[in-house]
Amino acid sequence: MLPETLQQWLEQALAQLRCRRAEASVRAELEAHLSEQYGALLARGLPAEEAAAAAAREMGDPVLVGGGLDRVHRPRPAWGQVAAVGALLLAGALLRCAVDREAAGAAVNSAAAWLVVPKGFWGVLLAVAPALLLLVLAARFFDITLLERHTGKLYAVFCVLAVVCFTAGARVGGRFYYGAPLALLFLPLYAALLYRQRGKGIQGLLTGCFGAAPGLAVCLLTPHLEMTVLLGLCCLAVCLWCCAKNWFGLGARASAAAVLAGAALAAVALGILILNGGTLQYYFGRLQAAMDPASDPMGRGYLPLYVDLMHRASVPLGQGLDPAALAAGDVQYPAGFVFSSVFVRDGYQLSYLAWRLGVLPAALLALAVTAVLALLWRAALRTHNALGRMLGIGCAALLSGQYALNLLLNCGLPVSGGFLAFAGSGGAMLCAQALLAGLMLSAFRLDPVVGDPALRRPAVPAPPLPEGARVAYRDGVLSIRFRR
Amino acid sequence: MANSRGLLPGSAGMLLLQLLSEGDLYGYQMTEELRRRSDDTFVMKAGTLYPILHGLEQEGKVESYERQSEGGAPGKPRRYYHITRTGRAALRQQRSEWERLSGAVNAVLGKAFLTCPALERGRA
Repeated sequence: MLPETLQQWLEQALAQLRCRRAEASVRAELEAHLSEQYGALLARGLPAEEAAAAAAREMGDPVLVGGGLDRVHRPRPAWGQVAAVGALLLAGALLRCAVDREAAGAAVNSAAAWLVVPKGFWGVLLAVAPALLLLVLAARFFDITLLERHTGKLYAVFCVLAVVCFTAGARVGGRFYYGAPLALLFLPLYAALLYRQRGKGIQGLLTGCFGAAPGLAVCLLTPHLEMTVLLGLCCLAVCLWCCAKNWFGLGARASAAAVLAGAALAAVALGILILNGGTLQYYFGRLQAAMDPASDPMGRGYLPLYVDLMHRASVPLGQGLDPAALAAGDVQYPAGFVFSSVFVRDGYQLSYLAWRLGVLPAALLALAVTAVLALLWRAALRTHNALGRMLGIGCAALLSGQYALNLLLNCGLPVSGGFLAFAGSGGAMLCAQALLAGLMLSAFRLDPVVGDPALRRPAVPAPPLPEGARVAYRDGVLSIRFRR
Repeated sequence: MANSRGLLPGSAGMLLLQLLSEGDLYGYQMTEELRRRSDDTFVMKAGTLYPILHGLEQEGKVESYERQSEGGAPGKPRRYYHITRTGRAALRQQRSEWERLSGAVNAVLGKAFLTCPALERGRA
């Protein structure tokens, strides 16, 4: 217990910290320093009061000390990242407006007409993008440490939402509409669960492995195979990162081997489910349709045929050729084949944009999405906070995986689950992506403040090398100095 | 720090990185080690030390962890600092800049001493 003088010094210094979140770690460090300073002075024979006064003088002016620490422990605004995500949300809203406008039968025959949005769609344009941006900002100011402190309760909430989704939620195309967005929101929970398993040994490892089950179950029950695989891979990536940092305390290689073995078993189980559930026939049918769409032009081959037609009709810049005219006389397109972009709204925004405005604008949009994802990856890999790092890696991987699937879809491959990050269609999925982005930005924002002392250090640090020595060994850790 | 603060811009960080390059230390240990090695020339107060240390940590030049200190109170872990690869690279760069700067200063002082008439009269 510190004497009154030093306690007052400490409180005066801490009062300068505007970010309350940093107070606990700064208090512990300054308290330890004061305690050791005071103890050293007492050991020199100074009376207690003099030692306390001398220790306070040695520490310096508490207001200046606190002010210096306050300048360091400030949340990072990172408004650039928010602006980048907001710009993509706006681009996506504009694209959706244009597609919906065309679907309503409005004539679109010049670039200028894009600016004339019929009455009724202004609400969509003015409400959708700002609402999504508000979601991003709300999640950005969310305290991510709540995820770690209330993981159990949040897991229970997730399970309840899953039950509601599967009992009362709508079904679209044979899938529960809210299943995939809900699965997207599982990843931050999983990161928080893994964060709590630090140093818990085999129990922590097993909890980490089986903790992914609720999210994967939601994907399987949706049913959405691509999302199951994607979410599984993202959870595996975060878990393997934990193993590499010896998070569970069992050794990096042993933990990683156990996690990979578990993942292999899960993959085998999934394979058995696919073989028994008839899903394989479904995907074979889609693959067949993608390879030979003309074999079923009015069924599974419709979308691959139409997307291929849009690609062929696209020009580098400007509106593309009339698909109906291009397809005239082509036996692949039977009578009754509908040439309407209405059916390519969901998932094919890039192809639609290439056809409507040119290949270059579509490429620009794709580049913009890639750039924003790269920005999020960079921030995720540079954050010092362990929870932020896990959450960042998992969410960035999930968003990137969805984007990669979307690119494959726009190339004509028979995949689903692809979604243009922040610029796609589908309200629930956009909301989920906005929340994910906001949570990632919250972690990055608090990185300077919520330091994680156990982030990258091994359980036993390297022993200090004696003067002139090149080799030292202690507690199973070998240190070698290769150069001065 | 020494009164010659104007001659040591940004050197405090370099000194701390040098100490950490030889082994992990916590805050109080760094101030004592600095004082001992400089023969009480450099007396770094907490007000200077911790903002610099935390700033170095944010820049990725050092990283911190908690560990039971060898001589500390039982049950009370200390926050140790460890220099990273980025920190070592920064230290090398700062040392080379310091050597260049100090070499230039010494060269000027050396010539000035040789050519200063007052000093010449003093020697005489």
